[in-house]
Amino acid sequence: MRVAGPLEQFEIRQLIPVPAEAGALDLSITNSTLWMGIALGAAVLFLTAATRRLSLVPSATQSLAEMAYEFVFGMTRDAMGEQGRPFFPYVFSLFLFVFLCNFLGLLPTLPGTPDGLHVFTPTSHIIVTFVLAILSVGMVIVVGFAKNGLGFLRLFAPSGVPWWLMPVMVVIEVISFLSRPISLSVRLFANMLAGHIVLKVFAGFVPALLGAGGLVALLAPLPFFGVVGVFLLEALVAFLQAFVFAMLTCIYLNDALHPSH
Amino acid sequence: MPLTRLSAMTDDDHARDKLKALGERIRQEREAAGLEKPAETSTNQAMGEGFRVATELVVSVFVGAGLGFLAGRPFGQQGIGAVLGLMFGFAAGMRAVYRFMMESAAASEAAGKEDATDDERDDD
Repeated sequence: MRVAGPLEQFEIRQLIPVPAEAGALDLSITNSTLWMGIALGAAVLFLTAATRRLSLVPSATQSLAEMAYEFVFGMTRDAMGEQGRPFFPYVFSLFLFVFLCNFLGLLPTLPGTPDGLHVFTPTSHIIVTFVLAILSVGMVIVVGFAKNGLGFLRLFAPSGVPWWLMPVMVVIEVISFLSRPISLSVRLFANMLAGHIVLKVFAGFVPALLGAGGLVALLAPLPFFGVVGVFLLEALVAFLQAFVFAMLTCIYLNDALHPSH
Repeated sequence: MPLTRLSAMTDDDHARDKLKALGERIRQEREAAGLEKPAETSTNQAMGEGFRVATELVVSVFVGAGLGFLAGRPFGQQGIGAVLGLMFGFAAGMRAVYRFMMESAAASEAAGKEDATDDERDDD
């Protein structure tokens, strides 16, 4: 019997190849594209179902959607105040997309699923999380310059610093700003990657112990319960990472609205 | 003040009191049934904040070193550039931790004030 290694789950498989000339972008549809599409479809379906028949006493789906809405709305209001209202749709979409990408990737693949269609977590690839982070930080720069003009550069010159320390502080603030997209993307990607590897390693112990036979096989339930525990922890991490990503986007956008600190 | 409005206000106050009492009863029942878990929410938040600070500290050091390496390249001093950048990166990381601490302190102070206002309102 062939057992997949813990890293095979992250392999990108081409599902619909799109021929590209040498040096051009490869726009083939891959399993990553498919699962991002599934996450997007799930978000649209969930919100459509939740808002189809609105009632004063909400149904379970409507209640869940209202909870998600109020949660993200509270986050944007706390971080940015009333001025943050125009950014709510972006933060809400980002939160829902990241959460669904994280969470759907945790579901087990059905036995007999064709190769390439196995469950995949797009956020376990740094390029996906980096693009999302660049989108957020790019928005901060655009909004910052649009709202404050060159005054946005005050972000790099903190107030209350003596003039002789200012050149050092400016360098430190620039490094701090440039590390934002990297820390945003690395945090999400590393958590997803590490969590899925741990899950797979624990799961791999179960057939390995059973296959060993004899008294050792009796130990097989132990890693199985470990998998259940790690799965629950990963479900929490899936939510937490989406929350942290959305919250930091709000905090960074607040810097764009009020650059002096 | 017209008498009708006065009586309406009293009705309103009465309804509000009843609502408050109901809210308190629900909270107590939920607590008794083990459904009220405020501590878990704060643990989740603390975990999220921990992830945030730890990554910012580590990534700032790497970004600083990388930028220092690039800045030293035109002068053929990549090593010195990287070491200097590393120091600045560490300082940037510490600055991020400091900023986070200040934000947390401000948030808990604001929460304390809000609680005090709520208590005053309850006393009224």
